[in-house]
Amino acid sequence: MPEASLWGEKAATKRRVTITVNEIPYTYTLPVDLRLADFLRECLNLKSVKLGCGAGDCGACTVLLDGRATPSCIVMAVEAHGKSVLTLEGAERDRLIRALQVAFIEKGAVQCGFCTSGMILTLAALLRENRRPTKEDIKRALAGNLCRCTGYQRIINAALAVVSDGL
Amino acid sequence: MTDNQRAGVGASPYRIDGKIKTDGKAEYIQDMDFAGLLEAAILPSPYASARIRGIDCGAALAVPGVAAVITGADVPGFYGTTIQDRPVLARERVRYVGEPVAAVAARGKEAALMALNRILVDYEETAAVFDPEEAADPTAPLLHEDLMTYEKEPIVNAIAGTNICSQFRLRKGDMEKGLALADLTLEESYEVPRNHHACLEPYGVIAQMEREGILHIWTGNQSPYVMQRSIAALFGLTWNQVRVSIPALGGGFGSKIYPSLEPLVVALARKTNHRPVRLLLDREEDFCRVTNHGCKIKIKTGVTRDGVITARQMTTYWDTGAYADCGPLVARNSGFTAAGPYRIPNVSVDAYSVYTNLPVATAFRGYGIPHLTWAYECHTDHLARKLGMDPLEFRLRNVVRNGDSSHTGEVLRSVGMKACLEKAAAAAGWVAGKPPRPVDLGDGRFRGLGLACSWKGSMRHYGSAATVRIMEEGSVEINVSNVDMGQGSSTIFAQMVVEEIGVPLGRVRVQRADTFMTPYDRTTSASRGTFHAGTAVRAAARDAWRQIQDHGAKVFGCAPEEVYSRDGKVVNPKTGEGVSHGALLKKAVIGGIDVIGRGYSQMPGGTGLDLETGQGANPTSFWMYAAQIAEIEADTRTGQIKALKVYAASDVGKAINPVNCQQQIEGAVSMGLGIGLMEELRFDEKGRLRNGNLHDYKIPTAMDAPEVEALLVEVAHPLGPYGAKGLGEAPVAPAAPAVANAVYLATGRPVWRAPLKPETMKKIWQEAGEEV
Ligand code: FES
Ligand code: FES
Repeated sequence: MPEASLWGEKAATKRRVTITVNEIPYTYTLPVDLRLADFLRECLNLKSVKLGCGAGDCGACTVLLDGRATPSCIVMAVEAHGKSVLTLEGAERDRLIRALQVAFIEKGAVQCGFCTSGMILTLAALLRENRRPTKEDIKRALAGNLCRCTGYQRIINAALAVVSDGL
Repeated sequence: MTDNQRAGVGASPYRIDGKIKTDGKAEYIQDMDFAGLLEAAILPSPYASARIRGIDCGAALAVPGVAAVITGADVPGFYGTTIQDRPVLARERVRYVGEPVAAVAARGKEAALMALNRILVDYEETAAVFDPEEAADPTAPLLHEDLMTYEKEPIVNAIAGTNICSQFRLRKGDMEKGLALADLTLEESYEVPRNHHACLEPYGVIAQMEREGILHIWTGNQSPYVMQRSIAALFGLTWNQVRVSIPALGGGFGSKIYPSLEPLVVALARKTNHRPVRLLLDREEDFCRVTNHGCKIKIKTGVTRDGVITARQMTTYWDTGAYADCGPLVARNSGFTAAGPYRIPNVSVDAYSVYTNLPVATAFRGYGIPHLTWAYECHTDHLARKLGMDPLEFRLRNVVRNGDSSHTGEVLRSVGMKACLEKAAAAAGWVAGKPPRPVDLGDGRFRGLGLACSWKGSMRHYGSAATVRIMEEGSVEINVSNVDMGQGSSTIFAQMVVEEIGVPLGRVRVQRADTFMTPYDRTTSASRGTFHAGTAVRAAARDAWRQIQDHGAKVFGCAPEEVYSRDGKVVNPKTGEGVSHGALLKKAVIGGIDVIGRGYSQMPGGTGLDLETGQGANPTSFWMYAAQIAEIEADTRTGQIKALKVYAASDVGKAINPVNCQQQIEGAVSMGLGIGLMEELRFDEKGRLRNGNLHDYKIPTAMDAPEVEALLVEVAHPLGPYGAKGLGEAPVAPAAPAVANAVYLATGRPVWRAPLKPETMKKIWQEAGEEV
């Protein structure tokens, strides 16, 4: 994997980091002010990570950073050094995420789809910690993930369906 | 067979784009890859109103990596949806904070921003006006001295020497007589401030002047053909030289109907030696690109003692912003429905679309109807209380029915207004004549129900075309330029094709809109997709099916009309055996040619509206009706109002996909509650937006989400495909006034201005003191 020259013109200081993304370790020399979201999208072409606000307000860019749902637009890539990142591209063998994806389709929780990656990963993090969340727990976990299309009801129902399937 | 396996009309198969979206694979504009891509950046005006004395771009051009720098002097001409009043970049003066003054294309955003920093603009600040009612006054500073000489659409009715870029008038019956017949009149003023679409996907455009002379634009836009034609006119190109390709959209809600910054990106792309130029707005820029209109509404109604409305007079001031865009159309199209879904013999409406020194206000899901519904539905409850009548009973007495004459003189057909009210009421347990009693929880909190209803016209009939291509191996492609921005139209079209030609749903793909590939469609707006594009798709599918029948007749040795489909196969009527569509085509030996069905939506009888009286017999291809009852909990100590449950009934004509209909209603209710409870753009005294980000501008979150019971009423439309009407917009409107009416019913405290923020309500309730 060649090192990114994309950021070559930047004056910012750089640091050599190793970040495991979707189970593959990548070693890059990255500017310290490069956002994790941009590293994932531009260097690794992982475009399931969406940019809705760039300010930590919408949750569209949520990834799992060492298992925690994290907005990747307000974390610098160098902060992920030594950590592991999961995006939807790496979730093919993850039973919980697969179940959420299927539930989203079956419960009609997807409209424009722009919030969907972040929603699914946020719920995956919740369900990993708490297999039996209540509706209120689910709502609270989703409070940082905006959706302008669905009104949330079906997203909440998709999560509840996965809970009751007891995966 | 369950509904999910059944995929024809009336079933609810899963969305055909569900999997790519849950896999994170849908490609939005920000995800597209281009070699040699340049990034664009825009220098915004810091003033709401100023003269430009000079611009110096010299230092900007010297920044390494800069490919092009443009200012107003480089791009002649005007554009605009209804009035050609807008330069691509400001020339001589600026009219709002954020107006593009210069733009740069460079290798990388950083170089572009560095170049912007080196552009020097010399401004001389001039007087500005922000309130639409003040701006309408002839003494207000004029935004457009050349208003009367601009090119305009025929519906525009500008008033010389003012900022009123268009006036809509409606006169029905005799207002004086109507008011004289009333036992009671009530006059009130309402306001809904500017709010914002807040699509989760920020806006983006890519443009490239391709080497072979084609101007190619990729944009998250709802109306590729409007874009093609506006851009062609502005840059002197023919329609077949302009290619508009639409990627996945992360929501639209009206914010992406018309050209906004596309011309600017094209202007840059013409100077970059065929390199593509991309403009991706950040969230704060997106907030200033376009917004919803704000509106001030005066309403006066006369009623008899037994609750019959005799007259209604309305005056509305639409805050259209610095350029007209669709403001005149919003004033007009909401104007002819402004008096609400009621039988009223005497109606007068004066609607003004007014220039102000604020960002351009554009279409927003509902096209003005949410503002008007807020006013006339709160007003309706205030009237009901004065009459001592149950608000439901009062409405049932007055709502429009089949055969009534509308306020423009149209004879209304297939009217589901009463049915919507009854269905919502039945679900909520609200019996006419017995308004539900609010519950006092004893600690300053109470719970209660409130009701509101609304109607919305679509727009005049404009054409849509579609083709359905059945390939020789049996897969099917639908070509249609309707844009699926999340509303689910591609699934609806696929279901229609399944219904007509009997292929399995999994064999059908819907092509993304692209003016070089998919045929003409006016717009994806006004809730017209299912009705118009759907009509075209159904006709195309029927045309394709007739061709399949012809091939079947040859292969099976029977008459074409005897050939039928079953379980995803074409059936030989002689043997009862089915073959796949592909197998049949192979047997028919047509040399690899695809079957192509063509379909159009062309409907007769549309009329305009008289400029003086607003009268017209057929101004809209169909009407939508919606009624909602909100159950709320309010806390008088904190001012917090929470919607607990919303019973939301909509007349959809025929539900092609019932779950999809419910999704539309649920999303609409959420948006409506946002308008009613929290959303408001705040501008300071200099016209600067103060909350243009998703942190300070709150939209509903999962924590705010009420339970929504979406109820479908099906009063078939004679021209709609399978009886369907449109749906997307109407259910946005009733939610906010339903909440306000719940508060009113419980406390007797009227409210006139949305949104009902905790600060505001706390004050109202504290003033009320012991009464509450
Ligand atoms: S893009 Fe990261 S939170 Fe919005
Ligand atoms: S589905 Fe569109 S933002 Fe959630």
